[in-house]
Amino acid sequence: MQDTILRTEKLCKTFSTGGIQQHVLKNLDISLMEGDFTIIMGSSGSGKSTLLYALSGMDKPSLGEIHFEGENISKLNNDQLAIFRRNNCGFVFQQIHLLDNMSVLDNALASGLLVSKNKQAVAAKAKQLLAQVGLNETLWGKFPSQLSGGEAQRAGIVRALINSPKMVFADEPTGALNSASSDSVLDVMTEVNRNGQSIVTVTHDITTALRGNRILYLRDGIICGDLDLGAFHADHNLARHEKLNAFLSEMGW
Amino acid sequence: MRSCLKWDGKMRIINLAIANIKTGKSAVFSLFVLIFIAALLLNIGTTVMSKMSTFYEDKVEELHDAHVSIVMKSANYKQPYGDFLKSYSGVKETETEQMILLPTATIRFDKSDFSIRTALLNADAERTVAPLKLIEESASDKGEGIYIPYGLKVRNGYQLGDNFTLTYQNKKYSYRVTGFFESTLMGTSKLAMLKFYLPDAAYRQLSEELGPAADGTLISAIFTDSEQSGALLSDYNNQFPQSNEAVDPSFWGADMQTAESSSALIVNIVAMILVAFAAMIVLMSLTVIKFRISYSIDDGMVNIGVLKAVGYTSLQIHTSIVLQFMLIAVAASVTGAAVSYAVMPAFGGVISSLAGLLWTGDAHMGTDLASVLIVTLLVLVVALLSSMRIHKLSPVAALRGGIMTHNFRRNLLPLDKAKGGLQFVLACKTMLANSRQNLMIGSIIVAITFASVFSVVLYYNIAEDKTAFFQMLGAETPNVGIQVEPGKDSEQLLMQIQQMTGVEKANILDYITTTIDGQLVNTDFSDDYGKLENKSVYEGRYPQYDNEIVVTGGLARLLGKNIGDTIKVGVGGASHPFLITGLNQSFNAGRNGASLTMAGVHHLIPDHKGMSINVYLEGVNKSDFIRDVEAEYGSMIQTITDVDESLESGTRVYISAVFAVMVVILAITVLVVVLILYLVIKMTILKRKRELGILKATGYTTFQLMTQIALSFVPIVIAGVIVGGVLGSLYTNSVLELLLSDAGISNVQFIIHVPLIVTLCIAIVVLVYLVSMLVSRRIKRITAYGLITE
Amino acid sequence: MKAKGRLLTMLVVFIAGIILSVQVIGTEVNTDVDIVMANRVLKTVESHWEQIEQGDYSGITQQFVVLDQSGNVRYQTADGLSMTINDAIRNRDSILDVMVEGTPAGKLIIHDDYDQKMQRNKEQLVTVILITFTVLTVLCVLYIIFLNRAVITPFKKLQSFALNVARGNLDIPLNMDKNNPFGAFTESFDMMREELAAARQSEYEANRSKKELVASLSHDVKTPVASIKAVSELMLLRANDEKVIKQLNMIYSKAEQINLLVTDMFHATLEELKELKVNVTEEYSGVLKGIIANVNYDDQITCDPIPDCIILTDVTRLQQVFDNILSNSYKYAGTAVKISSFITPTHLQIEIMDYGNGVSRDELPLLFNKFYRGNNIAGQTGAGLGLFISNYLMQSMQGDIECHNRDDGFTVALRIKLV
Repeated sequence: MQDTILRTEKLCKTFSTGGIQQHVLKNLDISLMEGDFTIIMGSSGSGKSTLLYALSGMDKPSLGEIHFEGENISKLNNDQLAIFRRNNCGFVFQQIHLLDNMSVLDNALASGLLVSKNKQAVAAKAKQLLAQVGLNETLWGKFPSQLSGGEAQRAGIVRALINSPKMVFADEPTGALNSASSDSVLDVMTEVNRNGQSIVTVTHDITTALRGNRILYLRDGIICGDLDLGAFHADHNLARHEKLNAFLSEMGW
Repeated sequence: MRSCLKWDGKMRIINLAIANIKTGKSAVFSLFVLIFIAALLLNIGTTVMSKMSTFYEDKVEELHDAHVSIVMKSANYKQPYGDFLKSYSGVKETETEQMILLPTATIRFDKSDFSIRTALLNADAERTVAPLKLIEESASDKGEGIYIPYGLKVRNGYQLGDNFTLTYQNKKYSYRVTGFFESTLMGTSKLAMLKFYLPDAAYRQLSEELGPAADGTLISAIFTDSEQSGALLSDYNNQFPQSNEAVDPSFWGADMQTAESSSALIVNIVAMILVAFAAMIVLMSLTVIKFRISYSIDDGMVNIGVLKAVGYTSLQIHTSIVLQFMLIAVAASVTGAAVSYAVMPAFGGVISSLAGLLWTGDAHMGTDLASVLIVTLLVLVVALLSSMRIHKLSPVAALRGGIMTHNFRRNLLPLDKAKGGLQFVLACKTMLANSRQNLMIGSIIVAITFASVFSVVLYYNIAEDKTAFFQMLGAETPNVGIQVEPGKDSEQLLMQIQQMTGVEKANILDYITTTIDGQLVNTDFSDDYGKLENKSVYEGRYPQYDNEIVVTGGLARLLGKNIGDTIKVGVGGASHPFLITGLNQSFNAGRNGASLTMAGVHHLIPDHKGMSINVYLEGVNKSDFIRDVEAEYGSMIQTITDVDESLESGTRVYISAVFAVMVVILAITVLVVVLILYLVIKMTILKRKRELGILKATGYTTFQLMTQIALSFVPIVIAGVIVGGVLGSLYTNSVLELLLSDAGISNVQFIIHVPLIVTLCIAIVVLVYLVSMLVSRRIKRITAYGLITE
Repeated sequence: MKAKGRLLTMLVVFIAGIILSVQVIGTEVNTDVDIVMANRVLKTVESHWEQIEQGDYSGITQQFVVLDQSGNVRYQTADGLSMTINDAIRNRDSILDVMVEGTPAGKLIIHDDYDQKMQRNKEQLVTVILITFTVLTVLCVLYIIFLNRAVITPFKKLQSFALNVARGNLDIPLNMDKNNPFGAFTESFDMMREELAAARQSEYEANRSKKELVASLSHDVKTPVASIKAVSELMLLRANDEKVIKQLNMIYSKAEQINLLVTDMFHATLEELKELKVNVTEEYSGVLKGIIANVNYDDQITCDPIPDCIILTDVTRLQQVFDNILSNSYKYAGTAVKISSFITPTHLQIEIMDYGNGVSRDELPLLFNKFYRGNNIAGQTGAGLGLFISNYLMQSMQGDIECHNRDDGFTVALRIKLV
């Protein structure tokens, strides 16, 4: 039996603009298991990203509670959340969001050195991770603007992984990439998941979704579908693909 | 509320400008404050300067006072003297009046006694020149007491009803102060003559008591054009070689220009410092405006694109941006000019106490307009220039957010190798990436530090350690000054005093009035210049031989002479050529000063003796010494003065003026630092929103990011402060020389008290750090989430 | 931009160099004799005429020779100086008369070192020019390096341009943040919306009062009509005359017809009044706090915390429901009220409990009927519509209302749908 790593209770998120309230997440009760590769899908505006950032402690829920390994993180203040994030979460963004004024290596170190003061150790780990995601040494000193989309995203993943977080949150990690780059990024993520790190990914993309073992379908801020897809195997993927297609058409995707 | 903008393409440009102003209220406010301060200082400075230039002239006009006054013992007065003045070209009016002349009377000044030449006039006598006009009069004792100059009230604190005592020849004469009057020539101790009025009865009584020896004659002249008055005294001296101070110790003459230069100086210095500081602040505002315009163009690039796409011409957009800053500039400078009316009385008080004359601050439209115009025009030019690039921008490029070319820099400070904490290294990276902004902050900090150092050095030297100040003034600071009774052998007395215990050294330092090339020159002479404490010669050396002379730098420039040249010095009918061996400066003598050796003076006036002895004491009680000297040589001595004390009270007014300047500059420094950092950090945060969001997302706390931002300013600020501090330490003296060159001071050697400056610099750095931390608190509002939803 | 800057720097340095060189060349060599020093020499010599070598010549850098009246050398500071007046004139040396006690005693020849001064000046000039040209050369080299780089960079610039093309944002949404000049534009829309809402509200108020009049009239009409019906029925039983029976039947059926018509009219008006119209929105459960506070007139209500969630409800209608329930409770029970709530899988259940006598078992099912009023209505006004409407509203909000007696009182349970 897997352990629950993240659990929400009546999670709600409301945005108010000009006095008009918009409820983006409504009474969500979600449990995420350790080691899962969870995919959040849904049409635009269904609250997928909001959910992702609420789960990851990037944003505070309006109502309800979020428990990470039994700790209620919805009650933490901003600084406590920052410390929570640096210790437990890694982030991969659609827009990648590397720091423009730093090299690839420094981008990873800027996160890594927050947690560990041991420069050599962190640098060694960063280099090992960079090599692992297929960024060779010639790229380490380059600036984000000199990288291709795929390279930049892999650097982004290294940054997300540098502190060995228990969970990695990815918001459309392949959204801005072409299909070749996208595959390489997804392979890295699958690899990361196999190593035991839980991943939550928001995506529009079926290829990305197929990497997950659980699909949550969000509509108007409510989970209206929860599919257990089984783990990804490059070889026998057809059945999973059909299952996913059936699920999505049922959901009206 | 905000005006509704219409999108029909005909929206007035002014609306666009106002909308822009309203969107950045705090930034607008800080700009407003900067420009306001600049306009305020500029206005005060220029007003004071322009008013000072005609202050004396106006006063003379107002009081119907004399342009030139000459006083001597009635016994020495001859009719031709009066006739000479009467027939002198340009003289409108003359008057000769009998009065009581006391060559040295002692008056209580604050805590110390002060010896000065005194003229007592009959208050009830008829006179046309300088009629008695009281600006304050006791209602009860009208016509019974003494009327004293206004300067004694503002500088020395005499009030109506106070007891006023004159000591003359060891006899005390006490009167009640019943009124104050203004006098341009005889109202302050600066020109070595004070005038008092006694009512008829008291005047007669005193006159009888003192006998005919004290009878004096006052000759006054009013010119049609005050410009012509300057040459009268030297012409008079040429005409009557027997009537001058060297021959007749009771002789005294002064003209309006001397009076003006003696007290306008410090006021002009203060005003000039204000103007210089105002100029600096204007420059800073301009830099900030430039920075802000560039930023708002970068930030509003897309808006500009939209406006262009909708059909606005570049000129319209350009105008709206420029107009926005013009509105601020006009509003702020007009407010500054208006507020200057509220601040002027404070400066008026300082001027009143310096000049001993009432300062009436009336409207100064001209300078108001000028300062508003100057500030506005400068802002206009900068705004126009820095928004120039809007013209070059094509709408498509603007809509795409402008084309930003990436800089392929070397990766400076790689995190795995750089030494120092993570926060610090990240801060350094940020700093290195913003060179333009750093240049701006750096130069502003340099300027600010320089100004602060300048004011602190000024204060330290005038209020704390006065040695250099006295040296600058060319004032000698003995402990005790002895005025030898006329006719006694001063050299013998000097020898005897030198033998006394506790006397470190003593020398004769007296002065005569000479003429050099038609200029009246205050000429010092001493038996031994080597004994002077304050060497006022800044180039060359003191005269050693009988044919050598030192002149003030100002006089040398005026005459076109330099060291090695020969000038002809005359006293009365005699004259002798002297070789210039050095240049000095003298605050007292003003521009026209010179120093001769004793032997040199004998070329001009054979057997002339200096009657003034300076005594420097060491390890002996001063009052004991004075008592001993009086007991032993009392018969040879006219007066004996405690110089330390009279200097102390004499400099008090300067100290307060300089203190005010220092406080103003330091306060403005703090304000400017706060404002600039506020503006810059606010913009930095807006600019780096994305980056800060990423850092927050990856787990940096608000405090860490605040520290990072604050630290990213610290190195450049430290650099700026060091440069400013070093420049301040090196060039404060040069700047003062520049400021004072008009006053005949060409060499300033103020002590740069390093610990004080280091403290000041550290204080500025700490201030910057604290302010940056405070201002960057707004990072709190940036959420990692805000970054993603953007 | 950068290229311009560098060119400008070069130009500035070049001009500065030229100016400096010209200035150094133009500087006049100070070949004047130091007269002050010469005066000192002369005065010292004069005052030590008998023993010239005893004079204090420290600090004097000038070389000089002293001759007596007959041309003999009395004193010289170095060898190789002009020893006679003629030599001195040839060498442009200065010749001064030595006067002792007013009579000429000899000559003082001060050596002129013009050549050395010229030499020094030349050296200085060479140094300045050398430095200037070195700096210029270095700058030139730097500029050449820069030019070289400028040829390579266009490729990189192309690349970064391509990266930036994607950044365009052409649509200008109305929901711009306030720090934008176009914020004013959006705000005017907001104002327009508010104006419109206000107008609609006042129109609605006017209509409503009209219709309320109709509704209450129609309800009031029912009572006399019911009396007519009752009386005509009674009379029917007693009547024997055919004609009378027929007429009474007519009266009865017409009264019944009126009753039906009035009922219809009453319903129609109620519907129109939107008393029964429900507009469900998603709300925080927190709104309940406000609703309860609104009916908590005498602090009779104690309320347990309400679990946080989002509910489906129409706040105004829900307020109406609470108004009805609590006014009933105040009217009929008049005790304190306790409200507690909990979440069921689909609903938020709210229990409103009073401690009165409750409702008799027989009446419980009838409570939600139209115009039903309980037995204990003596002295209480009402139309018997409250719970009927409440029930209707709860149903419309996908919720439910339910009541039951407890041992110690009466409970109304509201179930509000969760989102």
